[in-house]
Amino acid sequence: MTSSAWGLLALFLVLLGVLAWPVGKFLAALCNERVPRWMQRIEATLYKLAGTKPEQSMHWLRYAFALLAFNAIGAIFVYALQRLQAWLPLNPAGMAAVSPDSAFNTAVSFVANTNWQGYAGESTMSYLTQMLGLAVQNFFSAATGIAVAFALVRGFARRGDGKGLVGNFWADITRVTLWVLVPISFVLAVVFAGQGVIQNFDAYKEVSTLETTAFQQPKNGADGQPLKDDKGQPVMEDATTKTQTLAMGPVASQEAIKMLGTNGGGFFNANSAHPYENPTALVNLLQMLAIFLIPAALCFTFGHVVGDMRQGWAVLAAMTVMFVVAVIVITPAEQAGNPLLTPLGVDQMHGALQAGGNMEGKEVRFGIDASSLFAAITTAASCGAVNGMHDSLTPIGGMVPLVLMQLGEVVFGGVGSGLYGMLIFAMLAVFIAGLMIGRTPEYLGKKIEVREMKLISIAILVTPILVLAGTAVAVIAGAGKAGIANPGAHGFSEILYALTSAANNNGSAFAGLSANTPFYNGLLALAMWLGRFAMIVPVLAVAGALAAKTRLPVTSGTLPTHGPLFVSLLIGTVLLVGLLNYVPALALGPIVEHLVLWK
Amino acid sequence: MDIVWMGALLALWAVVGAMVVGLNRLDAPKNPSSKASNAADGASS
Repeated sequence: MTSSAWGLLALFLVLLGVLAWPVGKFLAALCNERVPRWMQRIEATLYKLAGTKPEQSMHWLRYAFALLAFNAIGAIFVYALQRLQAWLPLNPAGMAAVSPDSAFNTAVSFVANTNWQGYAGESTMSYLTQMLGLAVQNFFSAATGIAVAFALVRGFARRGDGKGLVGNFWADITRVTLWVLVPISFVLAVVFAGQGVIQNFDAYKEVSTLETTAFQQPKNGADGQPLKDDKGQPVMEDATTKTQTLAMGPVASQEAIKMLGTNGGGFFNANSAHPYENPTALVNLLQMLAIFLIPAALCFTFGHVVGDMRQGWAVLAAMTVMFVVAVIVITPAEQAGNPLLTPLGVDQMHGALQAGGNMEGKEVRFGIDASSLFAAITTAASCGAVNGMHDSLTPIGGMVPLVLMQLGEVVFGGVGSGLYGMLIFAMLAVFIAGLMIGRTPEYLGKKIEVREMKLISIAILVTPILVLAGTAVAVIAGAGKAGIANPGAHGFSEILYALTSAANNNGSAFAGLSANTPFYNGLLALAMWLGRFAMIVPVLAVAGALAAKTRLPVTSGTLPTHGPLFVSLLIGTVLLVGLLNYVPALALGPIVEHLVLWK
Repeated sequence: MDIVWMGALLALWAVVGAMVVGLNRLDAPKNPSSKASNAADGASS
């Protein structure tokens, strides 16, 4: 790694620590239901309107059904909005109704905090759909994840009521949205707008370009349909243009929660590589910090709520170590460049005038360092925003985002989902340690017994099953193979990446796969929905089981879960599960690509 | 087509809803004695 890459990584981690601490402390107050009186008064009005009683703690079953009902209504609303947008206001570009399969995929995607996008935002969605549908779900899906994390943390913290009460879902989602997500997003949006991220309701602008641009486009027949040659390939024709359409829109307001909520769905198709979404180096840094802010803060929240900050530090340390290793792998892989270009005389060395390395698919203004770091951050967290094209990463560089997602999105992970995913692994680590030393496993004074282990096993196995079975279906089915633009190992990587991203609720893509088809829209929606909610349900069940248990005192025989030994055990457990599940699939994709490229 | 995709959403919801009910039964103690599982019965780490 270059010194500038090390410097950027160090700056990022220091700023993250400084910002995450106070946010984590405030989140702990919300988790403990200690809200200042003036906030309570504002909340009381909302609870009265909704007819809910926030002081009534719910059994995990009620909590889960409230969560599922809330998200199902959200999905129906987003679907309806897309299908009706042609007849609704705030549609200056005259966007038509979104196709049913794409609307279904997008509705599930945004509700599940995935934000996989099979469409191009600027040529598909009206401003109303972007704001009232997609941006609103960015808030609610993030709040849902944090609410589940709160429920699990309370499960550890409570002394044992025997009833399995984990909190009130409606109060959790209201407080997190109102007092954390909205205020921070507002500040971020104002800063972004100040830096040049656009925020308007203007019609798209038609501007003259400095040069005439020549390009090829599919030729249409007399019936208006694209012509195809004898081999079934589209017939192309030469064309020129002297104008360009500049898409406008309320971008800054959506950009802020897109990052803060680890949602990742861009206003534009190019996402954070687009200069209207990510115009400056400062915005790029702030976007990266926003992605990790709440996942890191929740580690401190965890420590505060369970009454032992060392526990929070241990989880954060495990996440940080895995993240730093990922950055150390991806950055040199991209800096090494493409060996096939060397014989052609292409200078790929970094220097004062160029970033060097593999610059295909990267913004020149971000270079190797900021693009590689962004790629690691966005896939370590379940964000999925991109400031470069992951399809153009080197094989090893592309494998890093894949692996980070395949570890279960626990390396910081999504807002809430990162913490509850990591705590599930922590309980598994404690269980493994218990097996080794012949003692009943116990984490934070709560015994981990048969029921909990069954639930933990389900939670851990849901996503690998979805990824591997989904990939198998896609590479067998004709409709799945039809979307591959790059046959061979890279095409397999594209499909594996799509299913990995969907089932782990990341949302980024190896963009070479044509996935806006009924087959992929359906398959990926299935993976996103089950990857989100079939994971949340067992986690809530674990929370309920733990909340019912008495918290046992620490004794001399208690396994310490705050030291380097446990951090190592936790990292080992995460890596072991991930590698056992995915190494064969990785061998067919990026590993083969790497061996072919560097043979 | 809207009915088909809304039906798919309903089916997905039903799968997860059934999972909640199923895991709640898995979660439920099968006999009163298991309520005492919190007691320090035997070696504890």
